[in-house]
Amino acid sequence: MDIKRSDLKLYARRALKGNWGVVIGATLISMGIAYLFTTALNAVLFAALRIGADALFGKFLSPVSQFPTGNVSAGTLVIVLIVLYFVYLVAMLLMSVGYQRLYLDVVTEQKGKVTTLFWAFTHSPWKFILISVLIALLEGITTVPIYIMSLAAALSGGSGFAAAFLLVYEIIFLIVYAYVLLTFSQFYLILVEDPQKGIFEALAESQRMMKGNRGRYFVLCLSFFGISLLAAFSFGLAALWLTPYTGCTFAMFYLGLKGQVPEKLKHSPAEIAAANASYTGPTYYQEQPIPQQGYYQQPMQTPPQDMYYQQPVQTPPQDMYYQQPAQTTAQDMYYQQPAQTTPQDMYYQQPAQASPQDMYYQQPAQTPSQESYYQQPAQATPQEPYYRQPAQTNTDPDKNIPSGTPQV
Amino acid sequence: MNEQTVQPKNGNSMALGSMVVGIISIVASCCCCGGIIFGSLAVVLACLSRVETYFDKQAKTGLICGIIGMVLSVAAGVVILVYLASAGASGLAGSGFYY
Repeated sequence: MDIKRSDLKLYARRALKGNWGVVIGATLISMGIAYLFTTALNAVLFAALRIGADALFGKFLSPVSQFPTGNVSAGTLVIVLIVLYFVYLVAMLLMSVGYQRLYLDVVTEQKGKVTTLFWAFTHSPWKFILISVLIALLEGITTVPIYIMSLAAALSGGSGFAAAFLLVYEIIFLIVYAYVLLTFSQFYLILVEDPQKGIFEALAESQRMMKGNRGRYFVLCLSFFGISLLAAFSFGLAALWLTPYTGCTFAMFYLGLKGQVPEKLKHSPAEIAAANASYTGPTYYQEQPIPQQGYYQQPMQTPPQDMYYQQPVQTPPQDMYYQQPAQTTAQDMYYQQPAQTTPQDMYYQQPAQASPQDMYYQQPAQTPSQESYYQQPAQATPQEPYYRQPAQTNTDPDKNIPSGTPQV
Repeated sequence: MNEQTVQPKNGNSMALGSMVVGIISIVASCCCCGGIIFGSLAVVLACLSRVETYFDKQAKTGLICGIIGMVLSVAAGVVILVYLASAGASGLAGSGFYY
């Protein structure tokens, strides 16, 4: 469901509050591991260079002759270098997947742990390695024409055809590449949430989820440009905070697509009341268009939250609600409306459905969060008779109030 | 009220950090890039500390101080460059370098 970009970021910041130490600690650990790997790679590389330089120039003229090599041969060093480099790539890849898992844990209000960084090492690592190899192969294949035409242009002394081909090809390649990236952007999050899913199943699900949402995701990516620029001014110091922030925002986007944004992170009733007070546009129930496309947006039914929205006086224990989303007091407020007799009784006879619906009722019309509603079709169905048959309930001519009209 | 009520955390340490770094940025703005480094960090921390629909007072202070520190640092850099350029030009002219 469409959650505003600013709300996604706000929810991510709320989720990160209290977890900054974990995510920054994970970042520092991964940076330390990367530093160790690069140091080892440099050591092996310089040792191989020394052997080569000694062979070419003699020991006394070698520019890197101070570096110790021991008794190993150059071939052994090259093999060690290649193996170490691949181990480094795999470790970084799996740790980046672990990051996704950590961000998902944080935004779903689970207890984030630094050790989650190594989650992918024990959960289907070959799946992530395989898809990364496939992606690398595809990228390599698609860039082959660029190399061929560049080589042809260089050999022919530069031709107009080659230059035009390269320009057009790179533009098309860029557009297609961005489209594919956006389409499959949720792939890793889908797999880290459920590692049992297959690669192609996750790809298909990502494609289904991103249908109609690619533009939003693209704009969300672009919206981090400004703050990334500021982070660059701080010589990368601010990236310690910015990287988890962006990661959690993307994870929140994923939860938003699935309609699973935790209620605790959403706007409090006080914020909703303030937004309702400042809202001057049409109400959702009357005029706001209902989206007909997109992921998890199928069973649109008359959202009954307008009745609640138009009763701002009946939002007393807001702090209680904000801290106890699963244990709302909206029912009590509901009971305080004796004029709505018959349909209320129908509603009260289904207490199991009351809690999630109440949470839904307290969402603002400006930020419709129907995703939680949509994901509970089994709970929403029993309420349909009530909202779809208002004429049958209002039999009192003195109280001939149409359904959906505010009962202030 | 339920017994499992989670009490809200008092204070916002990130907003406090933003304010401290923002003040440091003003102090460090006379240095080479101190104002820009700490100022941008203060602005980022202030932005990330906002967990409500409004800024904390400390975050707002950090934001403003960070911006002031960055502006002062840029201004100081420009002044130093102009001074060095003018001093260099006058020094070269006085030394008769071009003659």
